[in-house]
Amino acid sequence: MEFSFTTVLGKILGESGYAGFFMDGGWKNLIMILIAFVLLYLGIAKKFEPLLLVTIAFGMLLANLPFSNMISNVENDGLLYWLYTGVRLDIYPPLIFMGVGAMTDFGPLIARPSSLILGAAAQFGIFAAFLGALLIFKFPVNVAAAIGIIGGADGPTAIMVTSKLAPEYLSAIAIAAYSYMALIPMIQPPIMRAFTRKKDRQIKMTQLREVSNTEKIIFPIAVATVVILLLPDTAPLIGMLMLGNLFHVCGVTARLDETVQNALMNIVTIFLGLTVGATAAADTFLTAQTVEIILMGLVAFALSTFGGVIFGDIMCWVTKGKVNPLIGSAGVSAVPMAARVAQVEGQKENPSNFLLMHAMGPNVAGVIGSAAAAGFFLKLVPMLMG
Amino acid sequence: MNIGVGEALLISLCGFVTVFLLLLFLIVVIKIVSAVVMAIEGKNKAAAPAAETAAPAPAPAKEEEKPSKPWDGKLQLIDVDEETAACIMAIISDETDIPLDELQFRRIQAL
Repeated sequence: MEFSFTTVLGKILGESGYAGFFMDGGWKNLIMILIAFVLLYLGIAKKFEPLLLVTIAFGMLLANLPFSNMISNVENDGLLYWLYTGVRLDIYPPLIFMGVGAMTDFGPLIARPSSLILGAAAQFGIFAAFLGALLIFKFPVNVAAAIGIIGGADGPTAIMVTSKLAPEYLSAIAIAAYSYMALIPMIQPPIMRAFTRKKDRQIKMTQLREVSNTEKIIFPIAVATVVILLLPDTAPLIGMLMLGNLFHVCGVTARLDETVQNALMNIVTIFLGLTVGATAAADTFLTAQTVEIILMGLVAFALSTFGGVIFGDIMCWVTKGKVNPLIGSAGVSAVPMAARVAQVEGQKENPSNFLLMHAMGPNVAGVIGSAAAAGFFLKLVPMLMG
Repeated sequence: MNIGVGEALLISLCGFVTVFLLLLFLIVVIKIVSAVVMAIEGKNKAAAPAAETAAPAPAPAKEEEKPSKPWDGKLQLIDVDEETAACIMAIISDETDIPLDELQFRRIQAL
């Protein structure tokens, strides 16, 4: 066998990932890597949903390095294949919901149950975007449903619905959902100001009543029973959300509560982000449909905020000025970001106004609302598709 | 499958109404649960002061147990050594889940 330095060097370079960029379609990988860099920048430097965006972006980076075989690992039997099983079998989103439940205080919602109306109203964007994707962009009904769910501003729900109904669009929809959730402080305020009156935005709401521990314990049990009986497809999401909350409030499972909120949540976040990112292959991601999905996602988000704010206006009118309409925008379920935006906007109008706890009611109601919308689509779409 | 405009509108409307009805139903459930819990807890609270006001009734029979002047913060031990008293206080704290520094012992007496 003849050995020469240049032959070996040429062979190493020829089989390296660098050479892959010059092969057929290699330039697409380069673009995907640049997108991953942008997402990493947004996650690390701008702190946009960093826990998920950094992991998704790194998964995307690994998947698009030529010859890294990360994508084939997702499709065959490598590490990511097994980790991806958690997405394919809808294991991760419910576990994330369990963590969300353990971290959520449903007290403001129990103190003012009418907040649920705002949580329902803010699901308007889901169904409007579903219509738009179906009628304007001519997406099939399963994809339109997955796109619509972006309007719920609820990452785990969007991932669960998409992995069941339109798995080929998982990366585009997950990235759109989490990116827009991070951009809530920019997307929502103009809509909130456009559809409310200045004097209404200045309304100071009365303090919420104290909720007893017994009520807090009964709440997750009652909600899980009532919602799941009506929409059985919501069982994984609502069931885990309420179980996590029960761990938190019942007072006898402190260790489980601590584990769910921290260790379990962190582990699942890593697995979910990495595998969703690794599905962002250049061939499926760099398409006109991805642009359409991202556009419709923005529309869904904006319309959900609009729906919440309009019902906030209605509640303000019905209660003769006792409800500040700004809290309606928190009906999108990005907890607690949307509630914080309502607080910030309220204080801009009246520095002595504290809307955070009042906005937490619609905010957590939005989580239940988007899970209910997901359950509706999961039930309906397979029926429509036969 | 192709879905017409009318059918698409109907699906969207149906979904939105379903979410609304579900959450309206939850409002009713929460209100009922809150009303029941508050009624029960209200009764318990009302019963507690009644018990407290009823308690002083037998007091005259044990007139000597009533402190005649404001408590000076000192623990009175009657026929009990300090070691036994410390054990009793620790056991009570443990059984009641109340930290020792939140408990007030005025007198420990051997019966």
